[in-house]
Amino acid sequence: MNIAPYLLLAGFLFSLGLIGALTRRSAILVFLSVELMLNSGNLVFLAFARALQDTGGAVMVLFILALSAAEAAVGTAIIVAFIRKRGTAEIDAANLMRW
Amino acid sequence: MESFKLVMPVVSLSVLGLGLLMLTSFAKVRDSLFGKLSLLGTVLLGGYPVLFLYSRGGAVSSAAMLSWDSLGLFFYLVCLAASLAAIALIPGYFSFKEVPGRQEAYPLIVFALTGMVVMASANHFLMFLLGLEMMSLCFYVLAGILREQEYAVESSLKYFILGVFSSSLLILGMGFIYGSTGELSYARIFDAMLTGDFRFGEPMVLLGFVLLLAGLFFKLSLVPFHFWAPDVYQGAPTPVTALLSVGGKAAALAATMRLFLEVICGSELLSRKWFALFAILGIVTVFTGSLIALTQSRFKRLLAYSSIVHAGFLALGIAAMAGGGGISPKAVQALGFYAAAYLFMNVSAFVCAQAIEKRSRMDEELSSLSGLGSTSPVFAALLSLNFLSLAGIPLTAGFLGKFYIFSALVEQGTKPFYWIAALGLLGAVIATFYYLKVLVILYFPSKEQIPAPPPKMSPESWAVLLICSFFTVLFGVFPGAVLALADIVTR
Amino acid sequence: MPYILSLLTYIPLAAALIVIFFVPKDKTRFIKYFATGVMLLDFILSLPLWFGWWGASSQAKGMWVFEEGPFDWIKSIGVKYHFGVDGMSVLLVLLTTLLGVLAAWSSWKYIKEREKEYYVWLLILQTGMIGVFCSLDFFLFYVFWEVMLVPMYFLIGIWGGPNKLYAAIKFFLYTLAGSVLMLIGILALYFQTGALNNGQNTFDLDVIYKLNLDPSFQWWIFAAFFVGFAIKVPMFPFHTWLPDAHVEAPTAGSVILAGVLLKMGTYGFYRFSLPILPDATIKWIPFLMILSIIGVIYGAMVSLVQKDMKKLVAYSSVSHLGFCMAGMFALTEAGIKGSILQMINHGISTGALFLLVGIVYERTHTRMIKEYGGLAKLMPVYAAIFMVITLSSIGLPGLNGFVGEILILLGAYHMPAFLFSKSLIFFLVSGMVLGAAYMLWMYQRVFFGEVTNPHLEEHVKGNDMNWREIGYMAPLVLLAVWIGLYPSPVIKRMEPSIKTVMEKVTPAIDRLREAKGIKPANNVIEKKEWKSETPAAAEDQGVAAPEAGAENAAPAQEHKGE
Repeated sequence: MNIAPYLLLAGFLFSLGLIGALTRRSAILVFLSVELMLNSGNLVFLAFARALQDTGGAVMVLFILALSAAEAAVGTAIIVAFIRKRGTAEIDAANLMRW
Repeated sequence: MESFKLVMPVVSLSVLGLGLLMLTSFAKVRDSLFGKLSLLGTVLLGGYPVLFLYSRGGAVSSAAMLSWDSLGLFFYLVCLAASLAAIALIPGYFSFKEVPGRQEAYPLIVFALTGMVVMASANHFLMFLLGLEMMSLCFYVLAGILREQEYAVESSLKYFILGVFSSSLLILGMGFIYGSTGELSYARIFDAMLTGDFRFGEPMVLLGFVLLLAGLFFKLSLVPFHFWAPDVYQGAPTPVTALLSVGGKAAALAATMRLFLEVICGSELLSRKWFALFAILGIVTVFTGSLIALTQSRFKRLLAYSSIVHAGFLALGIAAMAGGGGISPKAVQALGFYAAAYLFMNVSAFVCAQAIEKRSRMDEELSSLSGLGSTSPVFAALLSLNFLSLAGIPLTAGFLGKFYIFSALVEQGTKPFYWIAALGLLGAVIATFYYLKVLVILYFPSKEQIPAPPPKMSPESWAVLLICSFFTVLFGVFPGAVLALADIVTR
Repeated sequence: MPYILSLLTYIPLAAALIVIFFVPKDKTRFIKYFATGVMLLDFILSLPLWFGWWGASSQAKGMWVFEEGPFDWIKSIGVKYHFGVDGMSVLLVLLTTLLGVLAAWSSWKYIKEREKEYYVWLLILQTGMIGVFCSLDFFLFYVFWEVMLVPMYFLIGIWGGPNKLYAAIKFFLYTLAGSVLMLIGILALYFQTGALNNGQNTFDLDVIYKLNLDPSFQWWIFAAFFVGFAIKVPMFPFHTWLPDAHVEAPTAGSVILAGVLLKMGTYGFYRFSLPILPDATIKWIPFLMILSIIGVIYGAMVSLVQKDMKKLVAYSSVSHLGFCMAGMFALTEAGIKGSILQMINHGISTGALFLLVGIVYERTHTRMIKEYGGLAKLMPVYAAIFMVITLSSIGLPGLNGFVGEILILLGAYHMPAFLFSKSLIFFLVSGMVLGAAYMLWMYQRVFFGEVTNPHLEEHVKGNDMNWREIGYMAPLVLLAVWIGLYPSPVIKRMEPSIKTVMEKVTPAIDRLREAKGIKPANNVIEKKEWKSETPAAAEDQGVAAPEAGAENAAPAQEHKGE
């Protein structure tokens, strides 16, 4: 099986997520972009698992999915707490501490 | 029974965590009692497995994906001690901050401990990832547990976003390593490294390890992955800061060491290459951390940069461990000792940070220490003792920690190692400068400074501070006991 | 007495702990008496080191005397608890215990706040200093060397002058920076010891002395040690911490700083660099000598223009220590002897000068030379004692400074010419002349002439030195005269130890001589010039003793006296 396309797609997703995480200003969008990066990792695992005919990688993916669900739960809670406190989800509002 | 033994620490800690969680939800227990209960539970259910496993001489299992070898158990003890300190400190802290309830903090700390323990003992990428995430998720929540405090929420958000970012790097790295070697367990990857037969060539393995290590560097707060540390340390509740600065770092250190011992050392070529990486990162971290720390005027933020500097020394230790081609047992021992020393002196420092905090604030100016040398002599003496230890003055644990790390570097015996050791120690001298700054404020207040009010400390805080300071001195004068423990690590 | 060195070392520490835990802060009178009493006890206990010296069997061989251990301390890395002294360090220990008494005694009036802490730090400092001179284990030595920084830091930082913080931090960081580099040198040596010691690396000096190191390796270790010791001495480019620390420190701090702490640097060169790294020492000689000469001349020149008495004395230390270093690196027996004697002398006379400056400062609260004048009329006893000490500092015959300086000059003269040019002597002599100039000029400005400052009269008239002050000056004056008139008991004690060191250094000099293809005859020719009236005798002597450097200086001294 040729896995190059899958890896390319994963790389594309990763870059997309990276750019999003660095440029977006809303905390929610940044979080979504980071999740995109996480999923590119998933895709890499899946592609390799398929190419290697090995279940280990696929199992990893299941666990990573569970983890990202947990992350999403914690993350949204934190973002909500932040919005309650500052009235906005802008990352730039998180400026109390610097240097 | 044999298989139960292998998961026993995880099971007993999880049971404890779940039990405490149930208790918070369904029973109304007074805060102070709950704190004591959690402490007791952690001592028993956390302490028993490690004693049991030590007495059995450890256990390694590929099926459970966990190795309870001496490395794992040693760092288990370090993380357990850090968690106990945090649990002991929290009741006083929360009642001072006037946040009744919040009993979920205790089960969260227990779960974080479970994560650290798993991370330090994992011999499989899956278990490693689970441990890491378990620890990190608990830390994200714990950092923001005082949700009325703007600083706490902000630190939590920053920690979360950067933390998830780093885990995604780590997962991608694991993916590449998996693709190249076709394996996920450390032992099998080691074999693959030994043969050097990589499916997609060496560059991809290298890329995988770089991404994986980047994720770990983030947890260790090495420059340039240190940006989160000052903000999080400053904004998080002080007992939590103590936990994540000591426990989190120790677990990440253990995982990194295990990666080297069980995976990377398989390929001599690779492990040589890492030497330069860790040495350069270590030196850069030590210098950057100390130079920025010089400009800090807040206590916890200063401690954050100090912990970055110490991470730099740890990186130098890893360089010494990996540098000579094979694994240097001396460096492994040095890293273990350093982690133990760092535990005691850093926890003490954070107890002091907690003592001078005001109700509505998360971090205090250094000036709130001014003149405590004459008004609270015991407090000031203990704080200075631990700061001298952090600075690495002899007869303290901190000195011997540095001493072992640098002697492991010099032992390699070639010029680059000498230069790195010299540079690292010069960085340590710069670092001394800001520790001295705190001593200056304590003992030599200028005339115009108003003497600070004496610090408020609960009996638990005194207990933690005294115990930790005692060990700081004990390990500085008679390091035999820890060394014996850390010596087991090398086996 | 068994374990006398440990006893000496830890008595002050024990006393400090007693004061910390059992004496309340407001009992200042008791603390003063107690601390001084403990220092005195320490001094009395150290006297057996002097009087019992010839009873010890090992002294004649130049070995360790009053040796303790080696006991295991940190077994896994081969750290031993090993104490002992040789003929050189015993003198420094005695100097330390003596100056300890004087420092505590002289502080009774000077220190008016936080007395408890002050005497506690003084006692801990004493422990650190004695420990440094007694340690025969490199790790132990390093521990004492570093730990001693903390009390000194507090002494300068709390009880110092207006600029105390800057001075204290500068002192601390300079010394620390030097000592961490030294630590790398120590570690590098440590990892060489395994082969000699059944595979177990050790810091024990007995083993390290047996090492046979490759010269290029030695060079690097020497560099590391050099930074550590040269900062402490201080040698010329590293001296900038010294004036600050001296000027800001309280009187007792300056006395100890000048009397003992600076000696730790020279002691380090003598104890470690010379015997362990002889080949590297020889390679470094031109550099070391040039730095010493610059130190001598520069220190003296800067002293000349000082307006502040204490600063003048501080810079004079740079000059005097330059002398010590030049004597030591002449690598002849006479030179090292002179260097060690000069260390003791410097401890006595500079310590005394700081005490004397402190005495008037307590009365007038100024150290500016221009504020004084005509003091001899107002304080005759003070003026007399100051005169004796001034003369001892500039090396008047009959006082201690002369003996040390003359031995150093002799040592420099006998230095093999291929190591360093003989013009060295010219610079050293001109340093002596300058030394006489700045000291006498200061004396003249302070003590002679008319009283120009009306405040001075008001403060010091009828307020000459009291019995306490005379009491703590007396031992120093007596010592200055005694060493000046009869130095041989001091010199005899160090002789065997110096021979032991020379046994390590001489082969290295010979190796270099062979490598350069110079015949020992070189020395003979120069000898001829000197003893031109008896050429034949000199020739004989030269052939008989090719290592002119190792020659005993005593006959030469007699010759000079004629």
